[in-house]
Amino acid sequence: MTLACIMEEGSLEPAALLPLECKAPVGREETFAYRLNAPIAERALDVTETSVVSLLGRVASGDPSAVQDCIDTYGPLVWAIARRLSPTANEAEDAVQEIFIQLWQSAGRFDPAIASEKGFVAMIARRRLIDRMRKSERRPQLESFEERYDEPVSRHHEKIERDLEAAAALQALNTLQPKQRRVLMLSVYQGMSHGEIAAATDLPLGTVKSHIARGLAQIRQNLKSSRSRSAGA
Amino acid sequence: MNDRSESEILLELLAARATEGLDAQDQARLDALLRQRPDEDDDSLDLAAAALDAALLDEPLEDLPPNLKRKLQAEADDFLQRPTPVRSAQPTRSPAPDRPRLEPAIDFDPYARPPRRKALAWAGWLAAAAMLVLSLIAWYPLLTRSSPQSSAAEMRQQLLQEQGEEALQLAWSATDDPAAAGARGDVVWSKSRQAGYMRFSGLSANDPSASQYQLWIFDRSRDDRFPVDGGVFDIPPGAAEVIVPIQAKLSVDQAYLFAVTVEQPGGVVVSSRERIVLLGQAP
Repeated sequence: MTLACIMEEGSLEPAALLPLECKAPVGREETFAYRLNAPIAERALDVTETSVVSLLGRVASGDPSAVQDCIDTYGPLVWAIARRLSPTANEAEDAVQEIFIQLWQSAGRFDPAIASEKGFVAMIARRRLIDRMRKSERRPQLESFEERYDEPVSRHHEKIERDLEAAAALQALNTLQPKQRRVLMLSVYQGMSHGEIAAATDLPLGTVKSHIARGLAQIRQNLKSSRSRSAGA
Repeated sequence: MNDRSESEILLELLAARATEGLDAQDQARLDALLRQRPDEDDDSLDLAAAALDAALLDEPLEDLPPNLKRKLQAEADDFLQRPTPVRSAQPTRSPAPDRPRLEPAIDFDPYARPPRRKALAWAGWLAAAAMLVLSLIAWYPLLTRSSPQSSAAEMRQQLLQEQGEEALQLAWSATDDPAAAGARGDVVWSKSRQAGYMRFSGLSANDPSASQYQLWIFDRSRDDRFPVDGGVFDIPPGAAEVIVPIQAKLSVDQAYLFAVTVEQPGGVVVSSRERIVLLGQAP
């Protein structure tokens, strides 16, 4: 259940998530039941920085082992994003190959002063996947959130190590108004278009766009502050 | 949107790009706004969306499927065989390899088929050499004509006559760059011939030792962020009209936007977009 991470570790109470149903996009009624305006538990900031320093730098310098290490280190991350934002597993596999080639080619442009490696990799992956979605005009079939809540409770016990970026992003998400948070998650996490979100939530398209823009700006601000604190520490 | 500030519009365009992508029109608007704000960190919202996305992932993450991992390892081997300059393309401060700016797909074709086997490499070289010989034979009469400019003009005209409506012909739109003041002309492109010509009048002459013009071709069948390098060229002083053959470095399937930038001598792999002088956009 991908929303496990927004629940406070140790809390096993799905009831803490206030459900809110919203309309599914046309043609996707069977797979949709959103419950995304739940309060997000603030995560502790004393989390482990898990990024692998200088791996992309080694790739850029032509280190053969680094290219393979890149697959091992970021393969699961890229696969998870691709699987979620691709309509089929085959398309996800194609996308992952494109993403890695681009990642290797772009490795020299990674700047640790601006982003973590993980964030950089996720950005490349998302951009490629968004581009593929636009070109194919096919959207991923989403899992039902109901199904996710039905998953075994033990799933929520799994240890989740978060880096500082993740903590900052989730903290920012937690400060948003419920509607704004829901819209942002439908967009970023579910990969829904702004028009689909407007239809699903009965919000005007302009409001959807505004919620997403301001939500991302809030996360950007938190990331910046987190990075400044980290640099000053 | 008229009553909104440019900052708000810029923020929404950046957010839209980070979440659902932009069409060509919005991309052009974004580019124009970013040109006015060179200090704007245009990747920050993409990084914010990526950070949130990564933060929401369920963990532990699922491993790559074994067959996909094998494919990636083969891709990695192929990647490592490539010439070093491609791998170590200039490191810049930018964290955005993938942003929709003028970055030519010099070597990277995201839609290319899986890499050829090494055993076929020699066959590829031989085929390329054979094609080169055949091309030289076919083009010899044209290559031996007297004046380069008259040849280009004739070949452009010939292309238009033979291709008719199949040839894409777009008028240049000048930007507010000083070099483009009063510039006019058009660009002609034939998909079937994979050839085309740019025609200019009024475009400022350049000093090739200081800067050169470079063409970028945006192809709907490719990633918008990686326009195809269309070649570097010069505008000599005093020329009333200049016709320049397009030298696309990669196959262009569905060209929809041609952009001329001013770059350092020899051209660049990644354009800073600081000086876009002319645009030719398909409706």
